[in-house]
Amino acid sequence: MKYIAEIGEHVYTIEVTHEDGKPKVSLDGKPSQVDLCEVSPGALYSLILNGNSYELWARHTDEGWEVFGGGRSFRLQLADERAHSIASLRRASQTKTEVVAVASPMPAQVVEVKVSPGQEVVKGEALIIVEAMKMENELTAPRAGKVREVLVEPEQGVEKEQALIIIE
Amino acid sequence: MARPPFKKILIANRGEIAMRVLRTCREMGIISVAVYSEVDRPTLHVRYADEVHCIGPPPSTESYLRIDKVVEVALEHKAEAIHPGYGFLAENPEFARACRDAGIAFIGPTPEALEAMGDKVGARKSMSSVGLPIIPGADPTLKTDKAIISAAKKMGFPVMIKAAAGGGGKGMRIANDAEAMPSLLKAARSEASTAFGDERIFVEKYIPAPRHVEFQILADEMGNVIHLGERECSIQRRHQKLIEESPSPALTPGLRTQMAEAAVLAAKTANYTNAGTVEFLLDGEGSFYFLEMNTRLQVEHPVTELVTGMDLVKEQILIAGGRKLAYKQSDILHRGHAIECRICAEDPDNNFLPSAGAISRLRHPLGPGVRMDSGIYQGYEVPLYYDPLIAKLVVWAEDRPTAVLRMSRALSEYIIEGVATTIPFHRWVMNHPQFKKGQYDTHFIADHYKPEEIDLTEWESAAAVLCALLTETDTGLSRPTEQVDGQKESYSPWKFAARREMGRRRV
Repeated sequence: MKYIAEIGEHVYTIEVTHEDGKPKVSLDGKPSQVDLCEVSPGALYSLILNGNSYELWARHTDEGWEVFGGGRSFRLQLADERAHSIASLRRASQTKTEVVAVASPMPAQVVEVKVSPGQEVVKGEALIIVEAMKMENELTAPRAGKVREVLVEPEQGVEKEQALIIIE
Repeated sequence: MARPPFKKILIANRGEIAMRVLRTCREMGIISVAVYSEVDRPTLHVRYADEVHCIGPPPSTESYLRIDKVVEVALEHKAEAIHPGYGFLAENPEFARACRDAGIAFIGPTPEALEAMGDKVGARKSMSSVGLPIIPGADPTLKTDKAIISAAKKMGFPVMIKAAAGGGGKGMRIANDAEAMPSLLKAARSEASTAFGDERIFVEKYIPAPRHVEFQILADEMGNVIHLGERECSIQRRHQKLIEESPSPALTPGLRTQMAEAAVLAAKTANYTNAGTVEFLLDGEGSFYFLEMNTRLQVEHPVTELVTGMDLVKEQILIAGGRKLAYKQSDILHRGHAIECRICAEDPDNNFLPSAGAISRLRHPLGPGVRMDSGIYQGYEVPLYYDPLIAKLVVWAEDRPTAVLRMSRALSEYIIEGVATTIPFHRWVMNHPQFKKGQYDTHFIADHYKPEEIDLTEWESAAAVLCALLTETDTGLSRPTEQVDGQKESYSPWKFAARREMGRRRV
């Protein structure tokens, strides 16, 4: 079966076939040597990929896969080829009208709002500064767009996941 | 080992630093009393201490910052001394005074020294009067914008605006020209006012590309002062230190001697007692300037402990107990190189945003030359109420290149799952050619760290292959796989033995 894995904006194609009861893998079209050992069931795996050793933890949740390895967590969406193309078609038809809310990642206090409604912003541009854990944190635009609404003002306390700024 | 000067010590802190002090107490045979806020009930320092007392709800203003409650617990349970750790009440003269009034030894400097060094403007003045080099600055008593701006013009731009009661980067602003000054002054005053309850600010000449080098001081109550060498703390983000090392790759032996003498003079000028740190800025030409004196045990003290082989908490306790320093300056020997990485619950891929949550998996690095100071454990909930620092990874090796490799190795072993941490950031620094050469200044992170440019293809590919294999064989969730690791059955010695056993029985 052919799978498409999406990690953030990166896409990897993996084809798994079987030969003599053993899996064979091709990664982005390149045949790869693979050996998987389940160290602790449903959690810790030792993967040898083209002779390189990777220690990985994997967990499947409702939102997809969560994999931890190399000191980082990866959120991974995996779909077989057909499901993937349906999903991306659906997304493509949505993006035009999509609005995104920039939310506070934690309970915090608003320090400064750096944008106003109607303003064009680029991806990564600082939108708002909130303070938590005694530190000021800059929240940035997840993508380019126009500020539709600013929902909070300085010195206001906000909850985790509370929407602060809407971008369209 | 010296007989301990106290039978019982209260530790007025939490997390890794509470653990650090508790460990020395245990080694010295001193009974420890820990205090904790309600949210910290399950944490390590509460489980490790001999005696423990809850002092209030989670917000630090209602628990760890409550001078009255801390002193009350100490009196009630007959603690003879209090160690404040760092942060919270560590540099609060009122707290030191309350301890003194209650007849409890404060393990740190006198309230008078805390007051004198806490006022950054006053400290600069008194250090300058004994000949310590100070960054050229305007008269700190200037109040109006007009007077400050004209002084800045005389000094020449860029200038740095700083809070008089400052620290930790709060209230700091850089002004590149006179036009930008009024709005920057306003912002700095308001930040200083909210952070310190004191809106006084001052301006000084801005030194481009400086290094931050500080000297560790020990001073007893008989007036003996020694230094334990320097720590280089130039890897900073928004004036917060992230990585520290000793010795500094920037100092020549001559410069080191000059700076150490200045640091000792600063401590003597302040009538300083106990452990303290004199911070300097070092410019590209080898000129150094007194910055401030930190009147506490520093977060980064372990690097000094590793290169000197000393226990700074033990020295602090002995000094607070009225003991004379057991070392002369010539007894202090430095060996090898130490590096500390501050592991914070912050997301380095996402602007270092704090990351709260539970640690679902934890494996600390081990092996030669590795020291871990941490307050975390599997299941630990990183609270939002306190500092995001959750662990300090410190390594020692015979020289700097080996220490950098060792840190890299230790970081690669470190597993903290459940919250985002700065481990990937530290791995990036250890691999950076300029850091490896020791050529960096306080702008290193701002100038070079671009998380979006880090190549993750290798680990992402491995993760993708793993998930595809697990999905293909419909495993990884509950039941073990037969197809993916078909060898599993034959490789399990237990199953093999059991089957042989069964076979025998059948026969």
